[in-house]
Amino acid sequence: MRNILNVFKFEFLTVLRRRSFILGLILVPLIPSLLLGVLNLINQDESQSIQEVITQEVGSPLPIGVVDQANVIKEYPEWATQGRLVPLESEADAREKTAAGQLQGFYVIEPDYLETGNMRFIKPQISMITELLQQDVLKDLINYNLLGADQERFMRFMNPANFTFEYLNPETADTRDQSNAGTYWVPYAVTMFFYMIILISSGLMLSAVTKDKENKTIEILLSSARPLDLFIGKIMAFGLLSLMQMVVWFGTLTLLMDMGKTSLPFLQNISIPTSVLWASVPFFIGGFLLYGSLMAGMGAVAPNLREGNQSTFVLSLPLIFTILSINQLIETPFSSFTTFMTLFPFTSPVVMLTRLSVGPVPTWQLIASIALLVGTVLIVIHGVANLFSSQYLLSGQKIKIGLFLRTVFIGHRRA
Amino acid sequence: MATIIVDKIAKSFGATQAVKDVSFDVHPGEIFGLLGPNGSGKTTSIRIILDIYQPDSGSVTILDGPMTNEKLNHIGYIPEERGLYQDVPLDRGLTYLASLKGLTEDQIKERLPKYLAKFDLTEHAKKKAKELSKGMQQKGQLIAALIHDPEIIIIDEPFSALDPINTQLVKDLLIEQRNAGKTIVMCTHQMNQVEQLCDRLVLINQGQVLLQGELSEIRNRFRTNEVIIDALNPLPEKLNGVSRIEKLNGAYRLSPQEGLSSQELLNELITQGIKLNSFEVAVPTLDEIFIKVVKESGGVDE
Repeated sequence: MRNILNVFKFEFLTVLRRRSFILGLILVPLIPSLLLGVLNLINQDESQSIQEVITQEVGSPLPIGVVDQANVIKEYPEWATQGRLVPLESEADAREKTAAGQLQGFYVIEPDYLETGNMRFIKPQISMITELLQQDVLKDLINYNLLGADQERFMRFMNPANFTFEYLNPETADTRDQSNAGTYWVPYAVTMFFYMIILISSGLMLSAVTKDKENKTIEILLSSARPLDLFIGKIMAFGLLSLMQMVVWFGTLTLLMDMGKTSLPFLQNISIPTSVLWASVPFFIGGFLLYGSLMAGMGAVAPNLREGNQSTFVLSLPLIFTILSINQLIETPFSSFTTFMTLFPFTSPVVMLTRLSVGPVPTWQLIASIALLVGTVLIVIHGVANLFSSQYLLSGQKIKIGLFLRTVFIGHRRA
Repeated sequence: MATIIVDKIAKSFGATQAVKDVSFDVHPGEIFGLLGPNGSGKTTSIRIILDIYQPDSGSVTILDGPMTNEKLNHIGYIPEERGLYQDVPLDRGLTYLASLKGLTEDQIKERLPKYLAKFDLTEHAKKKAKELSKGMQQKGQLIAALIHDPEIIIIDEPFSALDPINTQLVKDLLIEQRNAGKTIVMCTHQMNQVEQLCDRLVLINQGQVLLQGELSEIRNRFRTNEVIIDALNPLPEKLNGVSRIEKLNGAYRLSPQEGLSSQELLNELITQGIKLNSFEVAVPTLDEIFIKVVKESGGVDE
């Protein structure tokens, strides 16, 4: 036990003191924080200047004239025009008043408007932003009149449907707000985040084990500590480091999304469900222990890091497959395929969090997923312990992936 | 009671039999040579002694019983493949290795500066191992093996890739440790070093013991009646009582006729008027014994 703690302490502090780790831990959340801050500042400046323009021009006391040669506008209700549009008898009259500074400018609705939709806008100076806003007022006015000057009908035209959804089985139904961008972006972001962090953190285990071989310290270690002590000490150290990294990164991401809502409108409807937050810890730990153990086992049999890295692709295939299936997982969260991926221990550490960011997951799936993950982790750790024998650790032979998988999942006599 | 008793150990890796029926014992306070050509099974035997490998059969008794985790703390081991954590400061790497040998933080804080000073490494303690010269790194490895004041020191190829200064340093260290009552197992194929340092030895080849015993006893066992003389004048082609004359560098090796002792041969030479500078009984070198025994056993594994 003491040697496990010695290994843990050394590995933990060695990585924690590494500049690259500290920079990664701080910079990854710092960069988006700074970007958000900069965006916030830019947005504030831009929105002020746009507001100023609109206040100056739209808020100008001068109205805009309307010369209706097609005779489509019967009424100019105050609630629609806000006093900005005034009817004029002729184009000549409008020109005269504009030149005299009594109008900002004027629209001419052409006689063939109903057939062609043609209009002209005459103004001393054109500002595109202002024009778009002014045109909206005119369009609303025309729509109101084309609909028979009926306010109720016009309001219905503007908002033709207010849907509410009812689900036959709310527990398994896809209750997501389809109009909300966050409905899709949050699961994508969560999936990618946990895919990356499980892959990165478990990769640390590979380098932690091969490092002892490359430094040629492995034989000295084996003359002082049992191979299993080395394995447990290392996985504890890198597990804690990775958990720290995950909590800092994911916590910052969640915090930034929350803080960004006030300054970035597109974040207003996006949030990470709390179920993802609490589930992230156990599923990340499970994912790390599963893949970290496999990577450590690969490190035990690989003569060096390069050889080990070449073989980790096979071990990462379930995670890669998760990413390849990401669209299907998010769009059909209740399909048999997604349920299988939620329960399958090699994909569940990522897919369960994808599912939770989509919506509620049935309780039995949560329990079954955790149980299967824990069981598989125990089997894999036991199998990898077989690989953490002196014979493999001191061997310089090339890895045979078949032998590796057979030893992990079926067992092998220790050296 | 022997410090280490190796009893008929055998170990195979797949189809390769690395060690078969190897037995020897190491006594307290001696430097014991575990000799053999490359690939003879020396390192496998050491790893079995250290409990790094489990033998297929046979047993090892160490410090009056089987190996335990606690007993590992009484052994200092320097493997042939010397290593230190390259990206970690020397003192931190040594602190870790010392902690694995059961030393407390206080003990390490007390001992490490002394060892660093002894090996002239104090000013390099904060440097990463990769920034140190090879010689300095080897000194660091010696500290890792000695800092916990082990009862047994096992050192594999102690003089491998060492320059003359560091070779002497290691020799002095081994003698110092022996004089302090430590038991030392030295695993090597460099016979001249063994002759200078070892009290007893075992020679293994192809995983089997060919020879073992005290150094002087082994040399006597292999000695013949041959004598080496340094004559003032060139010798005639034939001498009475001599069956064969072999020219060496400025000397002659004479094989006496059967039944003639070296004393009788000396008398014979004097009688024949041979003037001598020196006359000595030819004792075979360990190198010669090694080559002879290994060749007779069937050569060397490639």
